[in-house]
Amino acid sequence: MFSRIRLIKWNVPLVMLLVLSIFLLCPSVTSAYTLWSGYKWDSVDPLYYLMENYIGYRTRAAFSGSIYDWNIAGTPADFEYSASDYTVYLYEVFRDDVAWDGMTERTLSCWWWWCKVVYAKACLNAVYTDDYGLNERESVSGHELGHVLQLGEMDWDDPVLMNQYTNWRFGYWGVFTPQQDDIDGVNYLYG
Amino acid sequence: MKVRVVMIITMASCLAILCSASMSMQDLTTEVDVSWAKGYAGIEDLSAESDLIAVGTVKKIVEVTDDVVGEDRRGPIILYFTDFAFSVERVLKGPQGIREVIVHQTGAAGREEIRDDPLLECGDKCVLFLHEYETGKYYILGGPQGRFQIIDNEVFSMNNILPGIISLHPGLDVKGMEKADFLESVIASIGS
Repeated sequence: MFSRIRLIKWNVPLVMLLVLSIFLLCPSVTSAYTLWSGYKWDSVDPLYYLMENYIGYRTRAAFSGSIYDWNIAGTPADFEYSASDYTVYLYEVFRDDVAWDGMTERTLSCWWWWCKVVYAKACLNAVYTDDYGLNERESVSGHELGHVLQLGEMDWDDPVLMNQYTNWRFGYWGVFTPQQDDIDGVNYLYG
Repeated sequence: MKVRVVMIITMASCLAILCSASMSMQDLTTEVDVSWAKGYAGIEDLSAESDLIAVGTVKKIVEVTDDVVGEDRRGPIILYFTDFAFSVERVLKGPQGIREVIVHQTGAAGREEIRDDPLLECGDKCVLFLHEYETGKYYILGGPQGRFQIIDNEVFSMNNILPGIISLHPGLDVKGMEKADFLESVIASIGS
C-alpha cells in the first residue's frame, strides 16, 4: 500500500511534466498564425527579389523606384535581382472586389517558438494603383517592401511610409519614400 | 522505480524531439498585411461612399475561393477569399427590402487572414458599410473601418474588438455606444 502511494506521489509530477511538455511544444504549430512582429530575415544584405514577367510597366516602375529608395535609405537592407535564388517575389493583381491596393505575405519558418522569415510575396492591386501617379504608386510599393522587411503598420496620422492608408500616407502627408522612422525600424531589426 | 522514471523522462524527450522535428520542417504562412486604398475620417465619410449600410447577422460561409493569380518558384500564388451570407435585419442606406447579401472578404479560415481585418464569424451581429462590386455582392469599405460589431446591444468599432492590432481614425472610434444611438447617428450622417 505504502509503495503504491509513493509510486503515485512520484508519478504525478512526472506525468504533469510530460503533459506540460507536449502542451508547450505541439500547439505552437497552430499558434504560429497568431505570431507577429519581432521575427525577421536571417540577413537582408542582400535580399534577392524577382519581379513577375508579365507585370505592367506602371507597377514595374513603382517597385523599381521603391527598391532603389530602400537601397539608398541607409539601412542594411539591400534588394538585389536574382532570377533563381530569390526569396522575395513581386507581382501584380487586378482585383475590384477588395479595398486594398497592396498586399504582402510573409512565410515564416519556425522551430519551437523561434521563427524567421524565409520568403515574401508582395503585390500591387492595379485596379487602384493604375489610376495613381508614379509617386503615389511608389508609396504603396515602398510600403509593401517595408512589410517585406518586417515593419508593421502605422497609424493614419503618422507621416511615414508604413502608414497603412494610401490617401493619408500619400494624399495627406505626401510620403512615398522611407522616412526616418521607417529607417530606424529596419536598422533596429537588422543594424 | 528508477527504471520507470527514466522511461517516462525518455518518452517525454522523444515526444519533444518529434514535435520539434516536425515543426522545423514546416514553413508556416503567418503574416499578411495590406495597404488600404482609403482611410476614412468618420461615419459621414463612410456613409457617403457606401452603396449599402446594413444591420444584421453573419449567417454562414457560402463559399471559399482560391484564385491562382500567378506562379513563383514555390508554385502557384493563391489568393483566398471567403463569401459570407449576411442576413439583413435593417437597411440604413441602399435598396430597402434586401433580406440577405453576400459579403466578400480576403482570406480563408486556417489559411490566411489579413492581420488587421480578421474574417467575419458566423453569428456576428454587425453594422456594415458596404460597396457593391457585383450585383448582390459586397465588400466592406476600408476593411476593418466599415465594420462595427454589436455586442449586447452596444456597438464597438474594430479597434475596440482587437485593440493593439487595429488602429482607426478617432472619428470611427465607437466603444460601447447604445445600438439605437449609433444607428441614429448613422442615419443622421447620411442626410448631412
